[in-house]
Amino acid sequence: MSTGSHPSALADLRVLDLSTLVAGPYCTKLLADFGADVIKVEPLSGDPARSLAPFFGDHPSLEGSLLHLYLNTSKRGVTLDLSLPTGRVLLQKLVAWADVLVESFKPGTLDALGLGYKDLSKIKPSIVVVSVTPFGQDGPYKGYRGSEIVEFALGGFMYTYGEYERPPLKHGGHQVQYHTGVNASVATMVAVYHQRATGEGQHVDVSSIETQAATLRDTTSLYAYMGAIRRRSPKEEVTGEGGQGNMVASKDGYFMGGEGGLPRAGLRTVEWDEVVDFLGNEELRSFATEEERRRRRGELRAILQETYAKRAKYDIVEGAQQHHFMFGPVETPADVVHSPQMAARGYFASVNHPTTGPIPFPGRPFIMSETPWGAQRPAPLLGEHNHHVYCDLLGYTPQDLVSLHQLRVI
Amino acid sequence: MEGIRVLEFGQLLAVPHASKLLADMGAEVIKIESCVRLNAHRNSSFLDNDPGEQFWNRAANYNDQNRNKLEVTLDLTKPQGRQVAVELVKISDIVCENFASRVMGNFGLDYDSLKKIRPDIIMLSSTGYGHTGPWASYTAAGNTTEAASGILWITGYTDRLPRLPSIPYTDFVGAQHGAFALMAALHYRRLTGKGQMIDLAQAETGSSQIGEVLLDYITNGHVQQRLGNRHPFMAPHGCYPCSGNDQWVAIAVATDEEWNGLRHAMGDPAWCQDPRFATPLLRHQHQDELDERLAAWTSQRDHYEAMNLLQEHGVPAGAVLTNKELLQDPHYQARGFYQMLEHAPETGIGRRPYPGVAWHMSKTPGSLRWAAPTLGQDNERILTQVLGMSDSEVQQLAQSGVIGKEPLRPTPTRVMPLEAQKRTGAITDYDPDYKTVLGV
Repeated sequence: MSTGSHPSALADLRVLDLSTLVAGPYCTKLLADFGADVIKVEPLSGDPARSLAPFFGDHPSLEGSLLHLYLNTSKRGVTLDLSLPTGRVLLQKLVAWADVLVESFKPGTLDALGLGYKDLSKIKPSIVVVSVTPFGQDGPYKGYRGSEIVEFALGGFMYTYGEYERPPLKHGGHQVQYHTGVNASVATMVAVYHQRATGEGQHVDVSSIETQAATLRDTTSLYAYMGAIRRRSPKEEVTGEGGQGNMVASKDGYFMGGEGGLPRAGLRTVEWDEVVDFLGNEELRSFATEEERRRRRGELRAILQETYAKRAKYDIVEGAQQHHFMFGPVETPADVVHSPQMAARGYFASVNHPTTGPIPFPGRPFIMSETPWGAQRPAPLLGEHNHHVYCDLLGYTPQDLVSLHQLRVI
Repeated sequence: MEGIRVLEFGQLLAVPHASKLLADMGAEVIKIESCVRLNAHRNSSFLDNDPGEQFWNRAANYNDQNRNKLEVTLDLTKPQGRQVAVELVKISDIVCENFASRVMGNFGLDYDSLKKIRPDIIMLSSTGYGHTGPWASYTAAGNTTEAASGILWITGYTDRLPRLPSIPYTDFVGAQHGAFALMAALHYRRLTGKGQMIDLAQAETGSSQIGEVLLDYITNGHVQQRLGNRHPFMAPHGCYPCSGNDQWVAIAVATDEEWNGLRHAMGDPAWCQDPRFATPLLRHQHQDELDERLAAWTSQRDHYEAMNLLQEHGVPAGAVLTNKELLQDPHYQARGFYQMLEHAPETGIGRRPYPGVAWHMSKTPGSLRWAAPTLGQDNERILTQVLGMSDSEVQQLAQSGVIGKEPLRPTPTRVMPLEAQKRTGAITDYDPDYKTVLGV
């Protein structure tokens, strides 16, 4: 749907990205992939995400972290040591260029360097500073150390995840950080909306624990409405093994169906004949009444299992959907990469990074009919755009650049 | 966001949460509902677990997602209902919806039609798998979209099948990406005067949150699996029992410095000298033994006590908070996160605390302005004051059942008593005196 002939949605937006790891960089990746000019400012040792797995070819290197490559597409990259006075001068000049600055330092760090929102707004009153941290800029936990699982616990999701009798369970991957990053991208754009209307900048404080707490369903409201303390899945004698009665095995993987594989269709009542037609197994005719299905539950379950085990999951889902049963495939990461649906929609786009060569990159979050999405460039090598930014943009000479390099400012 | 009008045809979460983010920022969100097919969120989690006289105005999940909004009920299967919708589109900046992909077209309200009504309209259409491709017509819900995204595959205990989260997570992920898309489209419209259509697949937004996992397969052929609460290199890393009933603390130790902090916090017990725990690699290798010893220590303490003590020693640790604890937590309180809203008298709800705005802005802070609307609450006001219809025209719409304030088939979901929910394990416990606890 997108075409290259249109300008990008955010083509006029200039962003300075001082954030590291996942949350802040995912926020600025969203901005950059939709056209914002994002300069990633890294310490001389690089964003610590560069040291995180997975690595291309399983070889650890500063330019091979797939997490880093994914999160920093479309950005230019410079190095800068903010602990040095000259480094801070360079940053101030960059702030004069930018509309937005995104950072993820421990609260108070930039203030101590004379680079807090108040200082920067004197240089540029319209600057929007977005701080993305685990616990926010104030409150008793502001100095606490975060970590994915720790923030998951304090955000209120974790207590309700998992099996009744087991410890609360972490969500897969870096969910809290990504979730916080996308939340920060909305907050950033709201501040930019105000900036463009009035010329006024401001400080935006995004925390990962509040991102989650603002997102919960059936949780704090259950206490507020009836005093109930929500727990994890009910006991297994209620839900069946693992509480995963909806996840059913097919010939080549799992799919989500109704309980034990019995079709469901949202609010609509399902006629048993429809179920028999869908499954194509005449043996099932004799289970026509609810009472019969309950009485011969084990037998029914065995027939369903056997029927599904002979068919491929996409085939089952397609057949079920034709009957408007709400079935869906359970996709492994490999399935997602090979998904016919995502391929048809152009979810993957080729990115050519020096480490990997041209490979398909995931990540188009949605399709905009008028404005394109895509990696304008691969993630920057460490300090790759020092010359572009410091010489072409800020007007330093190549000789200055050599000096700044030798002084370990950049 | 004052001056921006959003017309929301939202069901459950995936779009209502997106427009809520804009409503919190001051946008005028008009929610269109149906008295014929009641929004399912109006039919669960009732005040005091009792449907009461008007269950549809007592539902916690609905009220959570729809504060700060206005509401008009319209029967879109009737031509007059669709005509009112068209009039509202003319004066709106944004239309957002999350019906199954065919539905808006059936109402004559798909993007091509909307564009003819209002050329610069911005439309967010959020579906499970998107409007194009072989799965475009599939119906979906939070569990199927998370399963299709790939996130589900890497979530769970190591010895079990993947574990569905307790909330429809990809609904929220889709909502937040959708809100970002709307802001980006507004930004573009300011520059060019052009609207556009956003085709958002909730499953895809989920996949975008495991980009590195997909690249690990694309480049290395690795299909990542579930790790439970373990971490690829940190140890100890997990969720450890504390002294109270079903109380836990999450701990994540990466560096030697954090390990030393942990030792000191525990009073440097002799087992820490065990050569099996001497380096991060050894600790990771022997984490079963390590976890057992650490759990013995955490079990002696309250989860808050464990967290605060560990954090004082520079160890990342967090109490696993229940919903009740979230509402009472000193950090959330200091930041003024939960805010009280007063409800219309006929609901019987009175004042209740709600999760606050998802971020803090220094100059244009969001706020909780009013509680979620009762069914059809703003019918008259919007139709007369905003659309300029006469009182008799509005009356006529009410008489012909185009608008209304009560569901056509008011059947409340069966409620399970809290004591029974406790027995099955759906809830840990309940406080009969919760109103006193909350001060409401």
